[in-house]
Amino acid sequence: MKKYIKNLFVFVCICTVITLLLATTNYFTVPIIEQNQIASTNKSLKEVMPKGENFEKIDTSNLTLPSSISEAYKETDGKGYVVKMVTSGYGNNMIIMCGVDTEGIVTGAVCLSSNETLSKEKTYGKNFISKNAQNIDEVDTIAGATKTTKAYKNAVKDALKAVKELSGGER
Amino acid sequence: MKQKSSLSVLLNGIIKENPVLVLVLGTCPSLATTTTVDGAFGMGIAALVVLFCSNIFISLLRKIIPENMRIPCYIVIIAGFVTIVKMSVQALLPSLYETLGVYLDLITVNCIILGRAEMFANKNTVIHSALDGIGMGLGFTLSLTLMSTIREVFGAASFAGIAIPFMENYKIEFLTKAPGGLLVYGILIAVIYCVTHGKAPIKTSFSCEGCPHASSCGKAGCQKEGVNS
Repeated sequence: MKKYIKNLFVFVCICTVITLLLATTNYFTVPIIEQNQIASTNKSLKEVMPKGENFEKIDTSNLTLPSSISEAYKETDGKGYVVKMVTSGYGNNMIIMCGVDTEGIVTGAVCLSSNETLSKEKTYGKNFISKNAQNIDEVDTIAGATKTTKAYKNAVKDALKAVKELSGGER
Repeated sequence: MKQKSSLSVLLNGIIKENPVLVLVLGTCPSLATTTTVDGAFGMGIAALVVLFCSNIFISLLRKIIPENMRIPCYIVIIAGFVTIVKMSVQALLPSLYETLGVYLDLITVNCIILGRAEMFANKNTVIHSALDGIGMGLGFTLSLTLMSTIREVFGAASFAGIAIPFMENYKIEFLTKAPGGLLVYGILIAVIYCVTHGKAPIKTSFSCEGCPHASSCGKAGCQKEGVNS
């Protein structure tokens, strides 16, 4: 019994030391990571809506949007909307951002982060440019990365539905 | 057991006991991250840092860690250092973080790191364990960089993302796919086998000597090898 308690004590001590090291690293890195994320979001907003100048975040809590939608932004000059989605492909947490103009046409789609193994999601978004709700099914999935590209396509479909809801909700 | 010099411990991992090309460990990241030179180099350096830190930590605690609790203890230590490296890369090198993706987390289960903890760090001094971590990490980084250079230059006509125009018409795209990676890996293993004249120390390092069950194993061959080593 004494041996088990000693083993447990050693294990708990090692876990405590590692936790302290992690907490210290977290303390120093979190502000930098947050700044990077803000810069990355601003860059991605411009990338998915090249004609957009300034964007403001919309409160979506009172709207009924597809479950994959996590954030929505409105171009302040009324050029369209940008929607951020979290979906699952082969792995979890594939974050996609999609821009849609006032006529319901996709202006761009990028993958912000993912846990996919083949990295097809990094370039797949360009296939959706100029597509709308009627012709989005013309974009083919990629063999060998079917789950990833299918999830990506569904996310863009969700973005089109969400923008329809967002623009309808404002009228 | 004969005491090795510090220099031989450091150099051991680079060719003689190269973790990827001789001991054939860490195959998953070796194939997955070698499509680009910068990704492969980044993965190698990240693994080197984790190997160095975990080897020192495990060697320091080798007399405290209970024998029957050593694997959970090693995993906690390795996973802790992997998370520290991950957070640091995410903060300081976001583009590398995006390139490596899920493979950065998978360093936790990289068998080179757990293998060196079990085979070397829990039996040797802190200095030797630190040098072993650096040597093995350098061997891993060099192997990955070499593999990725061949795959990217001949498969994608570029080097670290910089296009090589005169290679554009001669690129072999097959090399950027998984079967091409296996082919390059196999050729490099054959080359190293020729360079070391087939005297790679697999038997003494990874058979009975390092096996935790060697003393209780009844196989005559194992007992003989254990005595010889």
